Amino acid sequence: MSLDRNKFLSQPHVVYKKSEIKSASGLNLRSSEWMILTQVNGKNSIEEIAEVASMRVQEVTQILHNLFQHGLIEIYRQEKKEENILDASFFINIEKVLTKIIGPVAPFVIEDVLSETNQSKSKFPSERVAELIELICDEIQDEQKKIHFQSEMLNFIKQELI
Amino acid sequence: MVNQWFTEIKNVPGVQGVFIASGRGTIIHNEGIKIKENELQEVAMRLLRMSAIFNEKDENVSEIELFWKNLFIICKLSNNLLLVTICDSPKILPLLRITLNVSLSHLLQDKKIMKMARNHAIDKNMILRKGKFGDDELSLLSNI
Repeated sequence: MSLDRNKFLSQPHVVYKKSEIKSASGLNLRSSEWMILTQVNGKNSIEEIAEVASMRVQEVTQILHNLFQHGLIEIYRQEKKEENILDASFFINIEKVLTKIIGPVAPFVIEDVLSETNQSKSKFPSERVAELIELICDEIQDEQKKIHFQSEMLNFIKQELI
Repeated sequence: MVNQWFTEIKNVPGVQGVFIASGRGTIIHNEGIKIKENELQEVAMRLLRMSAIFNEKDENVSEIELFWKNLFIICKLSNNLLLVTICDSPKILPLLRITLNVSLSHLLQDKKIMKMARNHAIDKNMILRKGKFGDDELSLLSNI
């Protein structure tokens, strides 16, 4: 696919990079624009920047559009990047650990969280595993049990995913 | 033993370093942060003041995330102790939060650290009498 570098693209998966020609020094940018500009690095997509900045994708897109108009950023990649999918054994393991902690409702809690995030066990991206664990943790009321679950899952992430 | 948990946090990609501060903003331990101590104290005081603002309204804050000088600051608060992480790119914030939760639970069991934290205990509301509010603090105050 040919890349039209003069056209701003707003799809959430698009990745921008800083311009090699123009720098932001001397420009009067707002703090939110500086913040977004620091996250533009040829790696983070629009939606990833929004997540990091705790902003809505539309807000980030608007700011990126302004930066693009100033010539400070340019398109780096417009194709969707392929995601690594979690192995099925991960869900067997997480279910086992969670059942020990909250009992037989564990599989239902996992299904609920997956459905909230519009994901399925067979296609869950591995880079979102910590987010999944955090969402499951929200369903555990007891603080000690929550930490125990996080600790077990952290060991698993370190061994298997990092 | 405590060092193991600091290393765990530092090993999370994007983390520059981690420090612990007392309830008065005194830096108890610094692991890998090359920022001057007085600046770190400023950050700690800012975090404590934010927490105190919520405390005034009887709301408890256990975590604060800040953007400061192009760096991301993630702070966990507990028992007169601040566990503060400085990151240049918090791309894996959820993983960092999990690591901080687990590390903090272990650090809170460390007698040496807890003794230092207890020695610096302070009424949270006293923090609000120190210094002046910044614009962002005032905007936060107006929202609660």
